[in-house]
Amino acid sequence: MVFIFKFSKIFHLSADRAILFLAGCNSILLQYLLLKELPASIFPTEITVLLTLTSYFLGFSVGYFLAGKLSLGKIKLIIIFLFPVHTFVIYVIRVLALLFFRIAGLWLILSFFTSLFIFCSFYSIFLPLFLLKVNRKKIQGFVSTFYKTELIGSVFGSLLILLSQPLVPYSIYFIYVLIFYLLILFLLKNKVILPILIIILIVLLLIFPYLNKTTLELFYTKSYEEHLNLIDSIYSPYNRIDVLEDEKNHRYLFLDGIFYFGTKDLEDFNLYLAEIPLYVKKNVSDVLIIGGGTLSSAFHASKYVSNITVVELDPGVILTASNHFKEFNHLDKIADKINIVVDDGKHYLMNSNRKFDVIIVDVPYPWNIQTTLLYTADFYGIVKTKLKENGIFVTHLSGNLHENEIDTKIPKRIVKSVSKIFLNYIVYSFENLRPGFIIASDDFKVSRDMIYNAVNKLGIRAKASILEKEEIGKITNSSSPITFFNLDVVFTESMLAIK
Amino acid sequence: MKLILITFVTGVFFATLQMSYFFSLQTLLTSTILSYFSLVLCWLIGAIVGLRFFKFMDEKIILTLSIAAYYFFLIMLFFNKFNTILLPVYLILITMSSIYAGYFFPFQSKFFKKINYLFLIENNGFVLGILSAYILFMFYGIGFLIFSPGVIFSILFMIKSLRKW
Repeated sequence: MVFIFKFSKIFHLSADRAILFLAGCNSILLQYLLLKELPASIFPTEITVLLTLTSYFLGFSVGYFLAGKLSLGKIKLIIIFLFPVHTFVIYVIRVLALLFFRIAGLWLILSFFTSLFIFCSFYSIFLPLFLLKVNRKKIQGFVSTFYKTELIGSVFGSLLILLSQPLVPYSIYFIYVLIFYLLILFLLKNKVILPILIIILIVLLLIFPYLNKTTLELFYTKSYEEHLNLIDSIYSPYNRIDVLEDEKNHRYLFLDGIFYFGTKDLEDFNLYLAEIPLYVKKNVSDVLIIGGGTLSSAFHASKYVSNITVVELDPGVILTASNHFKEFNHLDKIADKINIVVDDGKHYLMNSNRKFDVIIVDVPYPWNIQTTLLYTADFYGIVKTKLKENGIFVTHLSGNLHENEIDTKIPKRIVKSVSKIFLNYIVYSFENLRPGFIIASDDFKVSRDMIYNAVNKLGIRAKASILEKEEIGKITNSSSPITFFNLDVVFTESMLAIK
Repeated sequence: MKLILITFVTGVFFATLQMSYFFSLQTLLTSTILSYFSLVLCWLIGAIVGLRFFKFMDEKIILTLSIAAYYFFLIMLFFNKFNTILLPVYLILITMSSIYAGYFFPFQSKFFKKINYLFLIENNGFVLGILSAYILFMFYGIGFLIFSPGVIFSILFMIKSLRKW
């Protein structure tokens, strides 16, 4: 205890400034934890991210308001109630998500996000609270010193996030709790508390595997109405990645709480996405796959070509796929054929001198801005410059283009974006899978017969539907392309998902 | 009234500028986590510089520097799309933009009898700025990046130039 206070004196910090430093640090860590857990617990769309950020910062406003109403003594009392909430922060979010699971639309948003104020307001109370105590005549100097201390804490918190990424999974959660406890120590200045907090922290570490497994399994079992066992869970820089297994030992990969890979359907998806175009194209020497971090599409492509480049943004997805999905990607067999690059797809394309026979874009649905940028006509324009002569481009449509489908808005706009860039294109889909696919090229024309032939040769039994350029034109006539100047699909898709 | 409005619109301006930097990097440079954290760190460092040296700065110069650095960044990014070699230059410009974020609070604090209201009002503006920036970017994309920071800056500058009311 004495050591901790002496440590703060080394840096010439008063208890107030030490509290501000820790509050600044933890407010950044809390933002990180909320952005990892909340979208994964509700639905990982851009609107959910926006609502999380909004309620996080509104929580700050609540704290600033309360600073004028509460004394330090009352805050010390409030800590008793806040202690379990902050100690079990990630589990509390998951349990709240389960409680609000049946509430939909606006009520879900209101209930869930209002409860967030409890988390966020705490750290913003201290700065105005301490400033309200100081001499008014010297207020400018104090604002400068105190706010600077809090911001230095935030810099420290950001560095912790950046540096802890490759460490133990969920390390940020433990760092968050540790800093919260340090803050309590500086606030209460009570010798008895230190051993108690150390014991709680050790217990927390010991029960973490159980609590993490239980809350995640509860969440997925309720969400997917099937009992699932947790195999692995990590925070990658971009997603919370969970691997679960059902009672028949089928494994599933979830990114931010959403099914990403593992079912028979998704295995068919990779067959349709990778093998049909490669069979149709023939004589392929270089293939680029953007996305597809599970490497299953790379496995399908490896049957036709020995030089495959996979560009994936999230190293965590590749790591998880390598560790837990070998039966799908057969990584041990295809390792010498693939070159994995961790990068943003558009950045890679613009900075690479290579050209490819086939470029496959296999990214998640356009639920957030980052992904939607890879569905734009601007991006397809970049793709086109990296195709060899007679090269083809393939992607999925995040839905089905056929007019009898309920929602064809997004597929229409994706197709319209492709049609703005390429001269020739054809759309195909199968009765057993929701998303359709598009093959496009400027100088290589794929016909209906060529796809039917590929379907037969590959032994695909599901009924295929194919639309050629003229038919597509009639369906997408009134749609507008997705561009860097118009990403409204993110908004409409996000709202649809929340509904 | 003017004091409240200036504080609120400044909050909107900070959020718009911050989100514009973020979306510009994401759209025209790279979506990797490194660019995001670089942005956060540089913004915080710029604010710390503003807090440290606020006594030696002129408000209008720092505010103008803030927006000028952004548009210089945007022009450079347009002409060098997806070129990460220029990232250090971009980071310096982000730091320059955020100096005003540090300068603003001690400068404005002398006008508020209760200091928590300075943070409260600015933060409410910041929340509105984040909400509008996200939604406008989804609907107007790069159009938002070109016009929004300039428009908010102009509104802020106009309010500041008005006589007391």
